[in-house]
Formats: sequence, C-alpha cells, structure tokens
Amino acid sequence: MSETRDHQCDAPRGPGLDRLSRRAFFRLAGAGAAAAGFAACSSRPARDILPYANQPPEVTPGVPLHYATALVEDGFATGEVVASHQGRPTQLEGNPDHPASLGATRARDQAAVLSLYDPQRARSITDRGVPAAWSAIEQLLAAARARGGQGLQVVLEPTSSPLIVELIERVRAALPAARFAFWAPFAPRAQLAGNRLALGRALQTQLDLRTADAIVALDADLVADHPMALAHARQIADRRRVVDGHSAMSRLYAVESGYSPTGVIADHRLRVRPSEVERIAVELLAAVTAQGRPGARPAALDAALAAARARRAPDGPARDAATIAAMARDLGRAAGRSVVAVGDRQPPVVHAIAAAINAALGNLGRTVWFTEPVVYEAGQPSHDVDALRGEPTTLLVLGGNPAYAAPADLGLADAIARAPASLYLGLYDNETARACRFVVPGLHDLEQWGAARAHDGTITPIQPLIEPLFDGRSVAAILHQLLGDPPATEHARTRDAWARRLPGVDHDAALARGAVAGSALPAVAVEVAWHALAPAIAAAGSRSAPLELAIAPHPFVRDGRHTNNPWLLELPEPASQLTWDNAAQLSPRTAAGLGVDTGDIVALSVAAGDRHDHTAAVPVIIVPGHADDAITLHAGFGRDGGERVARGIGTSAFRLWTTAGGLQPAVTATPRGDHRALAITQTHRDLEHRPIALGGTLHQLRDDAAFRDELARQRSPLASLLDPFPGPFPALPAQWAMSIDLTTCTGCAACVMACAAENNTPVVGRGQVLNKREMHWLRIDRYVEGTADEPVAVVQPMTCQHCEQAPCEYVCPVEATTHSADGLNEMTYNRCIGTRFCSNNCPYKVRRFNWFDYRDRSLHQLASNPDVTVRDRGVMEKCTYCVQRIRRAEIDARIADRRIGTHEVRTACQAACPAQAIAFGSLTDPASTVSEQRRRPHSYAVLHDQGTEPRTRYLARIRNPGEPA
Amino acid sequence: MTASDGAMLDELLPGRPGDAALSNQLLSTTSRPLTRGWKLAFAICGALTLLLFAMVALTVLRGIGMWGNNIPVAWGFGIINFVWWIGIGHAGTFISAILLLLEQHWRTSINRFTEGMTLFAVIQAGLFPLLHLGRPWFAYWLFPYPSAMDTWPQVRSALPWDAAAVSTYFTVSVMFWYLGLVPDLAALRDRAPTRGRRIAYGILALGWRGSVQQWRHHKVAYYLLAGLATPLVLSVHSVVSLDFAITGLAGWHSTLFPPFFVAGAILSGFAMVLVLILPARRVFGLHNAITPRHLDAMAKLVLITSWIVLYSYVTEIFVGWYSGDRYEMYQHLVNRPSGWYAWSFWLMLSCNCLATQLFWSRRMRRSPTVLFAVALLVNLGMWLERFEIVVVSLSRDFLPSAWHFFKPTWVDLGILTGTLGFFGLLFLGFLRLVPFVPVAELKQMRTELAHEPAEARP
Repeated sequence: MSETRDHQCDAPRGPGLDRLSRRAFFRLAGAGAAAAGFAACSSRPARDILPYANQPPEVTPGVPLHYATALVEDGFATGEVVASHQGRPTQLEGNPDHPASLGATRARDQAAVLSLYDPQRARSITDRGVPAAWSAIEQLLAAARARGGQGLQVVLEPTSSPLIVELIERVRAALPAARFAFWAPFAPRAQLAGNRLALGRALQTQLDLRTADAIVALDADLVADHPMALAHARQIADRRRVVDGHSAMSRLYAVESGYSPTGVIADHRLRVRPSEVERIAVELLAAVTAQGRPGARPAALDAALAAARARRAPDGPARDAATIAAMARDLGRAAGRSVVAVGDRQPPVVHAIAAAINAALGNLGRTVWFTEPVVYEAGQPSHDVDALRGEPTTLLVLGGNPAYAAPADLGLADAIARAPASLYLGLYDNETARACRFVVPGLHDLEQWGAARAHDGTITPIQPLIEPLFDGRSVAAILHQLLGDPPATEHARTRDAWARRLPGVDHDAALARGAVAGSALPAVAVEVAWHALAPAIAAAGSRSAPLELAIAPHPFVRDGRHTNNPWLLELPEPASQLTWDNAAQLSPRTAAGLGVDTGDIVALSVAAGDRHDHTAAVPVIIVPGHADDAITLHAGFGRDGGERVARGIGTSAFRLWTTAGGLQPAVTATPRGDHRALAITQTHRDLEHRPIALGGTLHQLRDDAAFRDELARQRSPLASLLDPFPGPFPALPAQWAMSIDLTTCTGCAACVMACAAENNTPVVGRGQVLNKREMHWLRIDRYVEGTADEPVAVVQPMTCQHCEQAPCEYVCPVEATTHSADGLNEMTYNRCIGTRFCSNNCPYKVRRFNWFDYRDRSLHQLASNPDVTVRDRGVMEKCTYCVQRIRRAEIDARIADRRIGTHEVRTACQAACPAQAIAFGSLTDPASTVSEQRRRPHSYAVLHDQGTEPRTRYLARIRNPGEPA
Repeated sequence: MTASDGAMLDELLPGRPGDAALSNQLLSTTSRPLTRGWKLAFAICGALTLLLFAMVALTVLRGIGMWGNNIPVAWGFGIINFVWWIGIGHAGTFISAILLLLEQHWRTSINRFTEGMTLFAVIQAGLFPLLHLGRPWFAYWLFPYPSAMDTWPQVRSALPWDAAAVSTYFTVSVMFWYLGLVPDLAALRDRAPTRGRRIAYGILALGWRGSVQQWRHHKVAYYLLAGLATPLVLSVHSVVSLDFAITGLAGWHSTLFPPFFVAGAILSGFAMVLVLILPARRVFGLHNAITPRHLDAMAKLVLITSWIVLYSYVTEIFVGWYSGDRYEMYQHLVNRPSGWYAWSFWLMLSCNCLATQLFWSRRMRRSPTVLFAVALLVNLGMWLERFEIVVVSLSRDFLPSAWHFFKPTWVDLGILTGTLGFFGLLFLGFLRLVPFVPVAELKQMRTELAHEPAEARP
C-alpha cells in the first residue's frame, strides 16, 4: 500500500539563532532556499509521496490488482471484480463468473467506489452527536443482553448471508425475547405473496430468458430493476442480435406505465395505468387457457374469470384487446419457451396469475422455476411493515434507513426517537441516525468481510479491498457484541463462520473466483392451487382511480441509499434525462389535462385519514410514452439527514406511501402555480427527419429492398474532393473502431457511469447541467418517434465518433487534437488553449469543456483512475476510446512478444454494458466483432452525409413486431 | 481653380478660414479647460472601464464558465463582441486609406477621428481572442514563434491567420494614424502653453520642422501606408469571416462570408463614426469642418453597404434553400426566422436594412438627429447579426439531442458594457490630447482646392 505522511512543517530543531555557527547558518540558509523553491511549485501536492520501503511481491506500481467481491442490495449479491491500485480500490467491473453479473455492471455499482470515499460518511461513534467511546456501545449491548432481550428490537436490512443468519439464530437462541425485523422499502414482497397464493408456498420466481422466444413483462423492468437485471439484459439481448434479415429474434411485450429500459427494447409496448395490469393479466390468463392445451383450464377458473370480467368496468381500448390477443397467441406458439414476468410493485394476485399462466404454458422447469427465497425469512412476518412497529426499550437499527424509507403513516422517525436506548449502525448520519441515540459508523461493501447469495442462491464471498476508512464496524461485530462474544478479527470471524456454515466449500477458492459454482438453490416442484387462486382472480381488476401514482425506486439512488453520491445524481435518469432532482413523470395528455408543463410544480396528495401529511410538492416532467392518468415518482430524494449532497434535493416520494395505499396509491394532483427549472440534459427529442437513429423491423430488413438501400446509403462512400483516409490499413498498428447495437441497447446508462468512473470525468452540479455543461464523455440520446398516442422512445449512446475526416482536427489552431496512426482522434490536453473551435465544428457535439476548475479535491479523488489525466480548467476533453486500455494492451502484448488479442481491448463502456451492445476492436482484424458487424446490412454511420467517416458505427434499431392478431 | 472645386470647398469648409484661424480653432481642443460634461463622460467611461477590468479579472481567475457559453453554444458574447468591434474598426482605415487613394477630399476632416475610432475599436476587439480562450496565458501559441518543442500553429485553422490579420491591421493602423498626426503634434508643440506639454508633444513630434523635404517624405510614406492599409481593410474581416466559413456548421459554412463580412464591417464602422462624430461636432462647434456634405456622403455609404448586407442575407437564405441540404435549409428557413431567437433575426433585419432606407431622402441624410438614431440602430443590428451567426447557428446544429439555449450572464453583459466604456475612455482621451480634425491636411486641402489648376488633376 502506498504510504503518505504529512509534510514536516516544523521549524528545524537545532541551535538557537544566537548560538548559530557558520556551518549551521549555511545549512539553514540552504534549506531555506530549497524550501523557497518548493513553495514556488504551488501545484504540487502538500504531502510527500514515499516509495515502498518493502515492496509487496504482488504489487507493481502502476499495474492494478483485481479482486473478486460483491455488492449487496436488499440481500441480493452481484459479483464484482474490483481494480486496486496499490491498495486503493478505484474501479468496479462485473464478475463474469457470477450469475447475477455475467461481467456487466449497473450504473450504481460503478459509483460504489465514490461512496466508499465519501468524505461525509459517518466517522466516529457518537452519542447524540457527541463523540463517544466503543465502551458505551458495549454497555448498551450488555444491558440488552442482561435483560434477556426483553424489549430489544433489532432492525436489519434483508440478508441472505449464511454468516449473518448464523449470528441471528444464535442471538435468538440466547435472547429469545428479542424481536427481529428486516426492512428495505423495495424488497420483493408481492412476488412471494403471489406465489404463496398460486402455489401454496412463499417461493421466489426464477427466470431463464436464454430460451425465451416470447416474453411478456407486466410492469416488470426485467433488464434494469431486478436483482438479476444484468443477467436478464444479457439473455434477452442474446436472443435479439440481428445479423441480417433472416436472424431469429425473440418477441418482447412490455405492459407498463412508466417508460422503462425494458419498454425501450420491447417490440410492443402497452402503456397502461398500474392498476390496469391486473385486468390485462386476467385477460391474458383467459386467452392463454382458452388455447385448448390439455388440462390447462380447470373449471374453477371459468367461474372466477367470468366473475372478474363481469365486475370490471367496460372494456379497455380496442388496442389493448388486440395486443392481449397477440400476446396470448405468441405465448401459446412459444409454449414451453415463453415467459410472463411481473414487477414487484404489482399486487400478489398478478404474480399469482403469472405463475398460473406460466404453468398453463408448460414453462415451469424450463424458462420459469421456483426456489425457496434466498433472503432469510423472506415472505414471513419479520419482513412486514408491522414488524417495524412496537415500543422497544432498546432499538438496534443495523443498516438501512427506516426513519426515511418506510410508509409515512408509521411515523417511524418519532417512534425511533421515543426508544429509551437506540443505536444506529450505518454509513451516514442519515434520518435514522439522527433519531437514534448512538451512531456507529458502518462498513462499506468494499471494506468488509462476509458472504451473500445471488438472487438464484449462488453463494458469493465478500472481501474487503481496503481497511475501514472511518473505524467502521460490521453488522456481525454488533451482533457478536450483543452476544458478549467479540470475534478476534473480521477475517477470522468470517473464515470460521464460513467453515461452520459452508463445510466443504473452500473459502480461498471461492474468494478467488467470486462465486461458489453450483451453489444455486434447487428448483422446488410446484402445483398451481387453482381453487385457492380462483377467488383472488374473481376479485382482481377492481382497483382503479382517476389518477394513479407509482412510487418507484430511482434507477440510480434507489431508495435514497445512494443519494449522497454525486456521480449518480448527475447521471441522467433514463426515461426523462433528469439530473439532480426527482419529478412527477407523466404523459403529455395528463399534463395537458392538469394544465401543467415540465417544471411546473404540482401538489400530490394521497388520502389516508391519519394524522400524517401525505402531500408532496414536486415538479412535473413530461415523458412521452408514459401511461395517461398516471404519475411515476422516484423515491430517494427529499432527504433530511446529515448528508450534505443529498440534503434538500427533490421531494420524498415516501411521504405519499401509506400502509393502506401501498406503493401505487390513488393520488390527486393540484397545480401550485410555481415552477422549478429542471436540469434535463436533453430538451429536444424530435429527430427532425435526420439520419441519426435509424431503425425498422426485422421483416423490413429481410424483404424491403428500399429499407436496406437507405441503410446502405448511410454507410457507402461519399463523393469527396479530399483524399480518403490512408488505406488499405497496414497490418500494424491496429485500426480501432466501435460498433453500437441500437437493437439491444436499453438506455440503462451503465456505460455512461462506467465511462465517468474510468475517465475521471468531473461532476459539475445542477447549475452547470442547467446550462448544458455536463461533462459526460458518453451520453444516451433519447428521441421520440411514432404517433402522439403511441410514442416510441429511441435511445442512442453518443460519444466521440473518432471520425477519419475529423472536423475538429483541422480547426484547432494549436494542433491539440490530432489523429493517431491507429485511427484515434486524440486530445493533447497540455497543448489545448481552449478556443472551443473544435466543439463548434463537431457535428455530434460530443466534446466537453472545462468551463471551471471542476476537479474534486476532497477524499473523492481517491476514486480517480491513475491511468487517466485529470484535466485542467480551460481544456477540451472527450471520449478517447479508452486509450489507456489500448496502450496497456499494447504494452502487455509487446512484453509477451505477441499481437494484441482480437477481444483483448475492452473499453469501459463496453465492459459495463449488460446487453453487450457495444463492440470494440480493430478493423485490421477480420475476426473482430467490429469488422463483422460493419458487414451487416443494417450497419450505418450517424450523420454519414457530413462526410466525417466516423469509426463508430451503429447497428440500426431492429424490432420484431408480430402481425396484428 | 474651377467652379466645381470652389463649390466643393465651400461645402467642405464653409467660409474658407485661413491657416491661422484653422489652427486656432482645431488645436484649441487640446488646451481648453475641461468642461463638466467632459468630466462626467470621462467618469462614466472610467467606471465602466473598471467594470471591464473587474469582469476580465473574474473571467481569468475563475474561468470562461463565468460566461453563458455551453456545449453546443461554445462561442458566445466573446466572439460576437470581437467581430462587432473589429467590424467597427473598419471604417477608419476605409475612410483614411481607401478614400485618400481615391482622392475623396471630403474624408479629410473626419479621417483622424475615424482612425482613432479604428484603433480603439481594435483594442476592444483584441481583448476577446485572448479572453475567450480557456487558458489565455497560452495565447502566444497562436503565433509562429520558434519554440523549443518545435511546435507551430496549425495553419489549416483560421485562428492563427486571424491572430496574424488582426495584429497586422492594428500595427498598420497605428502607424498610419501616427504618421498623419506628426505635423499636428509639431504644431501643438509649437503652441504648447506649458513646458511639460512642449516636451511631451516635442518628443511625439519626432523633430518635425515642416521643411519641404520632410513634407515630401511624409507624403510618400503616408501614401505608401495607405496603399498597405487598403488590402488590410479587406483582408482582416475576410480572415475573421473564415473563423466561421471553414467549418461545416450550417449557417457558417458559406463562401459568401468574406465579402459579406467586409460589407457588414463597413456598414457598422460608418454607423459608429456617425454615432461619435455627431455629438463631437455639436460639442466642439465644428460645423464648418464637418459639414452636411460630409454627413450626406457618409449616409450614402451607409445606405449602399446596407443594401450589400441585405443582398448577402437574401443570398444566404437562397443558397441555404438551393443547396437542398437539410441542415442548411433548417437553419435558414426554420431556425433563424422562427426559432428561439426569431426576435433577433427580425430585429436585425429591421435595424440593418429597413431603418437605413430613410437615407433615400436627402433631407434625412443631412439631419443629424435622424443620422444619429439610424446609426445607433445599425450598430445594434450589426451586433445582432453576429449574434445570429454565432449563437443562433450553434444553438441548433446537427443532432437535435444536443440543441440548447444560450443565455448571457451578468459577466457577459458587464464585459460588453465595459468595452463600450473603455472605448469611450480612450476616445475622450484622444479628443483631449490631440487635434481630432487633421489641421495640416485640412489646410492642404483648402490650398489644393483653392489653387490647383483643374487640368493637373487626374
């Protein structure tokens, strides 16, 4: 580990000036002159950086080491491989051997390194804000132990860790009166309840989309909001890679109210209010079971369906009926190779119906199966809202933030504050910490030892990348202390517990791999309990309101746990491209009905009849494609704790969450007449008939010559007076190029975050984003096509296209941007004087300018990638194709005296992409994916008519819609 | 002496005052007691200059982010102000050099004035290429100097040429102005009321004695410099226009730009001359040196250049449509006339092309009030024209996803007002320190027109 020490600024110790010898005088004078020289170099770091005295054998300065570990969210692990530079974790990539990652990462995973170095993390044990000693905690826990757990309530985040479970069981045995609650606001509950309804047991649904030919997602954001989202995105994309018009493609239906990444890649998208999903599920069940598959339609169902239909309001639009019929037809045709998936904010009955449909289609055991829940006691009362109630004498909140992220009518902040003795263990001085008496700094995932299970049950070891930065304690340490049995070290505790709970599984081997192969939970044999299900179906579809609210986790900050992470706040939310805020997403028609436009503030109100105020004033943001008469509001904002970045941003959606109304309540919206400027990164969504984001259907690609010709026109050579780029390419160096597949891109923004993390792009803040000065080198453009009634969002990752005839290069007066021999458009930061002429002449507007000194000099800078220069004020910057990775691969290849492997260089965006929509490689290598993709009939260049000959090509967005039923 | 020369002389110099009278009248502007009006104007301009320096300091210390610029609109007020000021700086040399070579006698009484305006406008303009850089301390990299790194400016870009053109123009303008000033400085030296002034003007007069030999050399050098300055008038704004024309951006990418920019520059320059000279004429009572004949000639030039500019606008729009290029068509037919900034387009047309039509009337051409008002409008219109080119084109270019609005900050506005103040400050100093109507040249013109035989003139 690199060591630093504070600069010695004491006056030299030595003889007093009155007794100064001539020799000593010259020594001091010389030192003074040298110090003056150092003082002149004011940009030098204020600290000395010392080399290793004894260099660890595995460390080469400048070459990162990689360790497998995992990030855990609501109990579900996602495997990561973390790069560590001399003991400093700097970047996460997915662990290809982990089933929940398959090598990809989510945006919020990428940002975890920034949270690790968050200077605002809780730093010391406090007693009502005053620093306290660990002995005070020992006393508190000893007192609770002495009472045998009487009046003790422990609130944990849902956990799947075998090691924590062992401790919980020991606490339960030792202190039988202690009550445990597990709380995370968006933990899956409805799925388990639904499966209990349909199958008789609270089981967890598992999906395998690799063989799914037809997928119906009912309010289910399979590719972005699911513990297995990365795997789902990969599996769906693998079935939708279009090589030419004869490629096989799955068919994806999305039924949803907000515009999710799953909706973006769907072939058919039905925008409906959240409550309508129930009705659609019932109709789908009716249609599928009517297809005459043997034994698929028990008599009990007929009566239930008839009852549900009879009570329901008159039929929805004919469009819905046609789509439902088409869904049923495609599901039926792909029986055994189809999936009906349901999102967790839907009520249990929809999950139950989906289980029944999957069973009726014969999908069980193929694309869909069920396992015991991987989260400890999931589906049991300890996970319910009611488990949070009670008046404990000693309250231990070990993680999470229930004072903020819970139904507002519980009044948990007050309840926690009422507890005579309370302790909060967590990363931040958040709302819950402020309600508790004692606060103990917690451990970041990258600081701790442990284990967790992936959604499919795969056991995933967790190892620290760095010593705890702020004297944090683990959940296990608190539980051990509660038992009066403090472990020797975290490592020893973990190793011993692992040996006890997972005998025969080599801990070190598991750590090296990051997952225990074959440890996924076995499928449980199930039978649909039609008789239990029938009454629920009969009652389904009755929920309805003139205006419905969906409280959804924010795709990046989730339930507020990451709201202090500026990377995630500045990452444009995919559907609205909003940064630094949350807003009520609604459709243009609903906005017109309310008489509001983007930025106008409405007061949302949920009727509850309790003493709490369920009103939130939020700005409106119009999202074309959102369901009418519905509002989506992201949680995680309106934070009121001690985190200075998070505090005061947006409005808390949890104020509208009541135990009665749930996460999708009826709501009223009243325009307040005031306005808030929203920092949206893209304000114009019309393509203006320009050749930018091209697309069509698979049918067109196969049969429509005009369509293929149009695509070919967007890549074939243009008449030019200029000499073409030198070619044919020499064998060496490589000619780098990128290919981006718009068919599989979901617009999830994982690549944007990965790019920012890899390339040290700064955060600029809301005010700067409002003036269009965000610094992301890679952005996701989002256009809207289709009709006003059926808008279709088209997403397009846009970054430096590395034009062979680059317009930016010839206008630079100082040659700060030039072309490399291997086809990169390079920026020489030292030479740039900041005329910004290059940006003006860039038709893609992908260049970014350091308008101010945006460098972050806080602890955050430890997350910087040491391989990438941090840019100065006044300098232009842009995507480099991750040139540092290219050069690293070149060096490695030269040392080993070999050529660079075909897929050896992976850009950060490419590595992060769960759908593998980004390909990178050399055009001189005919085996490379980019070379192959360039030969496909739907490969094209954006703004080809500008003659820029971009090295980045796109594969047109191909959809596979079914013929109307 | 012919009748026409006599008539012209009567128009240009009513009353044909003698040498002594001219000297007394025109040199006295430097020694008159300061008036309250002058002091007030000087104080206002001084305050605005301080504002400018404060805004410049803020920009250099904090960064270009203090301005409203963004991506896509990476150039904003900085470049608009640059082009506007440099355009204003055109009229001086045009009047001095080109009209001198064309023997337009009426130029004589206003040429010093306009040359001064040129210099001070170019000083304002020269601030911006420096200031708009992200790292202004490296501005010297734009010049070809022998560096240890063996790096040179990139000559395919217009910006090094721009730097060269503007600095050349400034240098030649200074020399031309100073050369014309030497005889009058000598006259001031000879009439200086105090020893300090005599020494100062004496040094500046470079030992001028008014000998025939000196006059001969002076005339040769003056005409040579005029010959040198003439192509610069055309080249500097042509080169400035290349900052835009060499790009591929719709609204910039146009071969029309060099002549279009020169015409626009002369239009704005003449307008600025009128804005400055009309008050000066009134305050200093120079109705005999700057006569309706002068005003009439300048108004005609404004009218002519206004038509050239209108022709350019129409051509630009026509070519945009005729090109069939979807981006050009959008820029000229949709974005400018009906986009976010449509008001600026229509206001620009009204100022530059509609208001000037008043000058078809001789009465209007000779009415100082009308001239002053129209000149102000033209200056506003020409500023808006650069706004149209720089901001409006950039705000909506190729990818609609990148489109964004530009809004100036208070620093932008402060710098624009500050340069107006700084310009005024320099100008007020100029009015006080040197005779702003060239005395020697005026006497010479009077003598030539009064005595020169008609057949000896070309």
